[in-house]
Amino acid sequence: MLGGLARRVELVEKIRSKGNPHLVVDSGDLFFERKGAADPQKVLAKAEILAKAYKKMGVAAVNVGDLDLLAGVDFLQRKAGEGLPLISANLAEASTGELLFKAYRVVEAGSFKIGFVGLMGPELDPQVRKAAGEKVSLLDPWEAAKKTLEELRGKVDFVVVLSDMGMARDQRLAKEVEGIQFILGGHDGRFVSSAEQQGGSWLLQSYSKGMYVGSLRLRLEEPGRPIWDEGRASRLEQELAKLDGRIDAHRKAQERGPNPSVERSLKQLEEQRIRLKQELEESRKKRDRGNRFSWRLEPLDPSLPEDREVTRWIQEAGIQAD
Amino acid sequence: MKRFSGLGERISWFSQPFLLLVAVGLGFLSPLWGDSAWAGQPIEITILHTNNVTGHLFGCPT
Repeated sequence: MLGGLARRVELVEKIRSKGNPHLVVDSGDLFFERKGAADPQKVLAKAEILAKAYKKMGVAAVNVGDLDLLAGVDFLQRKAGEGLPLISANLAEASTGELLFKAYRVVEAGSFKIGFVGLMGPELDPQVRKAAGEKVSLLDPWEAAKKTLEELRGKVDFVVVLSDMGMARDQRLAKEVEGIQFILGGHDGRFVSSAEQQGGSWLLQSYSKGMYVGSLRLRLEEPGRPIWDEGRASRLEQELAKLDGRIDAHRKAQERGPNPSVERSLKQLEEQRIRLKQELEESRKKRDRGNRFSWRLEPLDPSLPEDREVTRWIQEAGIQAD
Repeated sequence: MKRFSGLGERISWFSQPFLLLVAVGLGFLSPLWGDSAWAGQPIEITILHTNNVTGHLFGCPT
């Protein structure tokens, strides 16, 4: 068993108590699932507890995902009114075209400013559309991103898109819109153990059902310069070790007797090794200086302690299982 | 006076493409970082991220 809201809150409290600067964000589809519990009151009670817990964690931004509309937009607007920092750059009031939530949120860490931008996909499926009602309409997310980034130009040092569009649309976003450093995605809930680079953006997701917390550690010291993945060098080291094992096996096969096919294959592997070694040297140079990041999916396993207050909220609501 | 003026014109004429290249280069590298008050003091910050929690309060089987 992995996950649990009370464990997640306790993990954040632990990081906070150590004094490490951190921000908590969510990319959407936080509150509801497509096949919710039969009891609508329980579904809403769970959503209320989630909103309260994320506020307790001091969440910096929560993107509105399509499934978050399953209880209607009024629920979300009420939560925004109560101080939950919900954002969406492309969810609009159908009659006026005005955005229903703030498009972005700027968070400051000293003189350093991060802009979080919220996006959801370009259409709603029939179940969500029915729940959301005709009050809402969706703007083209790619155009909305361009417009929002234009608004943010000069106001922030760093842009993170919280996306509920899915990996394929996030890849398109990274290709079409410049100036996004990270796309923290969701919707398809993938387990992304290492960041994918598209253009100047890095793409990540943190699986689903709150089983993991994605931990993106940024170390920045060169304004305007690219950001490198610190973990790349260690992954290349592992690849090189595997390749060396294959080369050894080929050499042993050759010693047993000449074989043109083995010889060809060995030559290809040795050429591959030279390329890999060069890439590794480059990555090692970038690993220890300049702008860099590391990414880790922290599993919320049962050995982790739980936040007592959140546990009490759940018990008081009479909820014993999802 | 005229000599200085002519030199100024030459510098201006030569520098325009150079300045344009610098501006384009900076814009390409840092479309948003240009007007920053942050001057590169080392900063370390961790972003903790979740997605697709979908109302789950309890753990799930792996």
